[in-house]
Amino acid sequence: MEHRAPPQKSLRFGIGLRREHFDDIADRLDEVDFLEFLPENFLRFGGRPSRVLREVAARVDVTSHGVSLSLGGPDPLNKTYLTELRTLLDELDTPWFSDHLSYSSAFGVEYHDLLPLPFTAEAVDHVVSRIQFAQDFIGRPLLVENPSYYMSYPDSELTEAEFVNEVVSRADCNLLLDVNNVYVNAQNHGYDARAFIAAMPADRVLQYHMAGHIQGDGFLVDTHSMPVRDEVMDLYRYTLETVGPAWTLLEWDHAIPSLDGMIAELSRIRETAASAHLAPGTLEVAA
Amino acid sequence: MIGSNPRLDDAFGAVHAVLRGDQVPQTAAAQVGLDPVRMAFYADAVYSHVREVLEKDFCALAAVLGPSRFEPLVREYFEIRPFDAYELNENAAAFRDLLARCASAGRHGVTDFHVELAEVEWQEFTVYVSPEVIPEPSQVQAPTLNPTLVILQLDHGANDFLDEWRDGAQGDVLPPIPDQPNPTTLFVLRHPETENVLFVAADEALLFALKAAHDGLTVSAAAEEAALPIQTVQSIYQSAADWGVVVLPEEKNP
Ligand SMILES: [Fe+2]
Repeated sequence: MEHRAPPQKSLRFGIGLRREHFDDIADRLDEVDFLEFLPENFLRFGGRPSRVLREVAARVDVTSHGVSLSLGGPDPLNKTYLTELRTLLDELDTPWFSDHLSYSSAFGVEYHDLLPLPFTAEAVDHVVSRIQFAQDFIGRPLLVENPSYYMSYPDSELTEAEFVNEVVSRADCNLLLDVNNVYVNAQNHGYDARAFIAAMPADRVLQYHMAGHIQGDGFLVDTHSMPVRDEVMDLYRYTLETVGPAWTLLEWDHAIPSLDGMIAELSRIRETAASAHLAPGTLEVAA
Repeated sequence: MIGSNPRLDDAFGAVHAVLRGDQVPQTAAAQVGLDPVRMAFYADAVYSHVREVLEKDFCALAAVLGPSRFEPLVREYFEIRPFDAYELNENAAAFRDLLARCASAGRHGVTDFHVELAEVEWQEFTVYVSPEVIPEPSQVQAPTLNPTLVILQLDHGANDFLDEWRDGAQGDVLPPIPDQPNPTTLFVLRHPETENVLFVAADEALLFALKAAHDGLTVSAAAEEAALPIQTVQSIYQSAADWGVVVLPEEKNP
């Protein structure tokens, strides 16, 4: 099936479309290059959520970031969800859609959380066919995101970086590289964050996520409840210099600040990007 | 899909057993070599999503019951009603059924008032996200009912309680729970202009407007049928429109 051609890699900056900002987001669209929405929070809703989503989508690019495809899960992909998603994305004409390289439901139960997969050849085979199915069904590029994870399977035969590379190349999909997740995972699982970034398939990375995390009980927890830590900003600069420009989204899902606060934090990310030494010819900044 | 991935299936099964609380992390973790502490961390997270959505959708109820009575309800709901909808709130719909069963069995200190309170809060949510499209005044020929309108028959004054609690900025000091039966017809709706969800106890005039708009009666037809002066019906309809219960045609709503 023909997919909508992915846009050129470019440096743009966006925030999530959240209910907390419904009243004022339409007045602040000049200050963001794009918005990302969680389809689960809009697909079945009319009223204000539906009206605001369509209003902003008419004025700025919007990207869809799902949390319930369960690409790695044991149950068949949810066709009802996929059908609803396809209808909405066709209407909004999003450049792509994304979800996570993990699973969120099993045996008929929706966990509303992201569970990690073992990094095995078996898991690669399993998830690749499901990514291909979802991408073909929706008819737009699918970006899979490297999730944060807090437990690792002893039977993993691949490193996480090998697993990600194997999946995106065999599924022929794109990557949403969450820089904060790389930092958190590297700390929690004892690997080198920069080496992981350098090993990513640069030409498949169309989007970055930036977010805050907290120190949990003996490990870092990716909470999306905080400003981006300086260490993650540094890693983002390195990522831009290594992987190249891509749409960059500030994720904030708990203790969400006002729109002023979001836009101020987005400015910090813009400043970090401006300080990166990008390879000549890689930068195509949005007008 | 199950059957083709033996090692993956073992992992899915072991993790699921812990997330559902069917197995202690130590046992399941040993089977697949995972860290039981981290498995418990995920189990806590999954359980927290259940508590959080119930606290969000039934926030007055949670405040009234307090953690000591609310938590056992969350636990029981988690056990009997595994979430199966990708839209998180949909999974909370059947909480009202559990409350009703508890009220009739006298369990967890749940009363008919609590059941009624939960019903109002749930309907406020469904009205907020209702896919019904409210017509513009220019799109209607006669007074038209707001399609998001939900009508509830209350007996225990949950609406008055909610009004008082919210007027007090939802503080820790709860208004008294009404102790006298107070039969009320409550309209819950999304206001056509502000998109805010509101409820209003229907008086005779609102009930008249409801019936007349439901029957598609213009002002003059409604006046004739009820043998009322046109101005009276006009002001009844206007008041119903101000509440958002009906949408009046453009010329009647300058
Ligand atoms: Fe992310």
